[in-house]
Amino acid sequence: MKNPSEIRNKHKREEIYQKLKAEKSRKQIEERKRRKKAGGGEPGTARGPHRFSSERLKNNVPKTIDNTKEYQEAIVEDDEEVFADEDSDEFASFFTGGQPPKICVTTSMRPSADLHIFAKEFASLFPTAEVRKRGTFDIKDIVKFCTNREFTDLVIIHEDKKQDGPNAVIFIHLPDGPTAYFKLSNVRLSKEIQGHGRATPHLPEVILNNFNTRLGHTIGRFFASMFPPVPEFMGRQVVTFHNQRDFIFVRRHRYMFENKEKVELQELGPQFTLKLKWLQRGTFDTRFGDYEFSFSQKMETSRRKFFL
Amino acid sequence: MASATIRGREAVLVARANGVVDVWDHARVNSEEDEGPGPLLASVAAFVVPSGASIVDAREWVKVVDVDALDDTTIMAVNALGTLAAITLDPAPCTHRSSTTTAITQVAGRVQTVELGKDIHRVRPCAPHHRHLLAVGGNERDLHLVDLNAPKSQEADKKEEHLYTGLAKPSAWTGDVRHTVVWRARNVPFDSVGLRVPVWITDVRFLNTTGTAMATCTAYHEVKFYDTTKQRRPTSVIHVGDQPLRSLTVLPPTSRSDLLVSDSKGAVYRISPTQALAHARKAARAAGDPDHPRNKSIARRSGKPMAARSAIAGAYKGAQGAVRQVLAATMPDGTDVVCAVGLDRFVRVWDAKSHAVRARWFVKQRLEAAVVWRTPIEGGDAHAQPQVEEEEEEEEEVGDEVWDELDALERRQLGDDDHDEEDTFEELAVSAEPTKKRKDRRAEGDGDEDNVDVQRAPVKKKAVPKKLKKPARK
Repeated sequence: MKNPSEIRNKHKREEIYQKLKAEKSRKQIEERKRRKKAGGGEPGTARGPHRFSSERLKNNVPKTIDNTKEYQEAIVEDDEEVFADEDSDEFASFFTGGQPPKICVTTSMRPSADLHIFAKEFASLFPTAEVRKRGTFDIKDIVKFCTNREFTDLVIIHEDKKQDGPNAVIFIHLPDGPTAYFKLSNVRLSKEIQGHGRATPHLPEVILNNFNTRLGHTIGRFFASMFPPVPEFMGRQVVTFHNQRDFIFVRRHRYMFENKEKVELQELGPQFTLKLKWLQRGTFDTRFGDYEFSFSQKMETSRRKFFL
Repeated sequence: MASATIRGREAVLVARANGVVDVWDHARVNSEEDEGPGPLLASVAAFVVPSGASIVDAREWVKVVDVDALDDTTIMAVNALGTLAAITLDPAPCTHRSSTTTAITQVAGRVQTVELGKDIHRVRPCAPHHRHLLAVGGNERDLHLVDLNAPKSQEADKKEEHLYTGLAKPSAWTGDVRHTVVWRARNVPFDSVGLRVPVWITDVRFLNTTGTAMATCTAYHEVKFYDTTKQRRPTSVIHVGDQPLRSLTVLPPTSRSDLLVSDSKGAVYRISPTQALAHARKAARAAGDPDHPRNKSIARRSGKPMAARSAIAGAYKGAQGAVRQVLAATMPDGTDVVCAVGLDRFVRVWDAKSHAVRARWFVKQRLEAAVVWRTPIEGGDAHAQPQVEEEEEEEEEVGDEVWDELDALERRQLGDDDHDEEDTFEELAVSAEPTKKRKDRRAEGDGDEDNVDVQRAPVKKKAVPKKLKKPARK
């Protein structure tokens, strides 16, 4: 049967195409009737997908970008060398030395009121964080001040236009750890979240999902090193950094087990999305520092290639 | 890092940020014998912190900035504070097979030091013939030539237009370390708004064997060429990109002796002064004629400077992080390749002419330096370990072409114990597989990649696959 798009006569083409669509729709209805007879249900209904035959489910796994990702050599599997390398990176003082984190959160210059409110909520995610006013200090000077006062991390929340809200975050590990610049999007404060809960001062657990490549490992360790290592399970709070397609979704939840199988989640605190733009060795020095990763459009060679 | 001949053995010098300089006999690295001398020839504490130094000072004191060999028995190391130490190694440098630790062993021999001044970033000897002639540059330390042999009477004055004619015949280091500056560069004139142009040299290379032509790359994204016989100012300045340049190397004469520079975001550019000259000649011919097709672009009409781009003869794409070292090498079949290592943990090799990627390895560590190696490997590969086999498989598919040797330095803070370094270095030695499969033999005495005419032994031609096969999927 000739592909209808190759028929040059518009009327004839329309006619053939409509016939094809009708045929397709008729087949679908018949298939549904057959399925219903065989005992399955419509997806999304009460007799829903768990009534499908496992056979059919197995044969119809759709191809998504996530399961057709391009192979990256940098993906870390069980690798002694990488673990040894990680044990001696800038975060070693937290992971092997047990140094507790102490975070200073500040904003870009002349913040709007909204930015300051978000900064306080952002700081509430991290138990040992404190918010400071930016004033007119240069970032390099702030790095020096924080190092002297024994902070382990400096976070700067940046906004471009006051009405648009925060759009970037810079994480700087001190004393001479890496600097990561993330684009911030989809920011929602806790009061904007439907049915939100109120966070307690308990130390949260940290979940890091899908940080697969070597770069991903570095970023994952960066986030992990900003929380106290031993959580308070009594608080049942968890902060999740979920990486999917190079976007990192940050959420905070309180969980409650109804019984052994079923768990309920209540969202607390702010939620936002991060995307890594560059990672630089050393503290903030965009002019003369060395970049370990710097995203540019040239890198986007394929829709199925991800770096984290 | 440098490759040199120490006591008759081809060696690789590795300088570490904790002040230790290792001399590795590369040929023995992959040999599987348990007995006999090991690959580590010597491990020297080049710099020992004087007592009472503060933490910051101590770090600067031991951080080795550059290392090379002055002659067959002496290595030179420069630290971040500008002290050049010339260390003579003892007669039989070798450690037992089992000792791969970078233990701080002060081998017998003299250590002479001389102060070069602070903020030095690169000290490069004019190899292979004049190892005592050093080109020195750094942050706000403009390029100058230091001759360790020369008496103080030959010192160049800062004010006068003192030119340097270079050294014609090959000369050896006499054994003294005298800080005699035989030539100093002058900065370019003030810029269009009357401000002094800052200087921050990150890499230097000699362009000829007599020591009169040099090229530097700076953190202000400039490549400057110097001719000591003509003038103290740079003969030309080329602006390349907008990121600080990290390393510079010279392609072999088969690639027109062009330069390669790399920057801190992963770009590798090829700079061609000959192309720039050709462009300039064409522009000069077309100058003054508004109807000439060359003058029709808007930029040209509005008077903007066009010369900057004409020297850049292309780029080698793919590196994602800062490229700390870019190298040029010649394959056994005569093609030139460009190799770059950097912070993205990959080693990449491109064909110099076609800019196609020849090979790419993920080596799991941030890389600081690489060196091109040219001598055969001792020892068999009968008992290859599983990891090596895996890599070998990849190698096979690539086609057994790549034969540069890679060592890596981790960027570390002071205070890491030796155990870490041992681990990583040993593992790297194991996974440094490319050399195992080479069948060609070269009888060269020096592995330096400078632009020098060296007598080469006839080499068996190897078939070069036209296409690069994909590496084995795990």
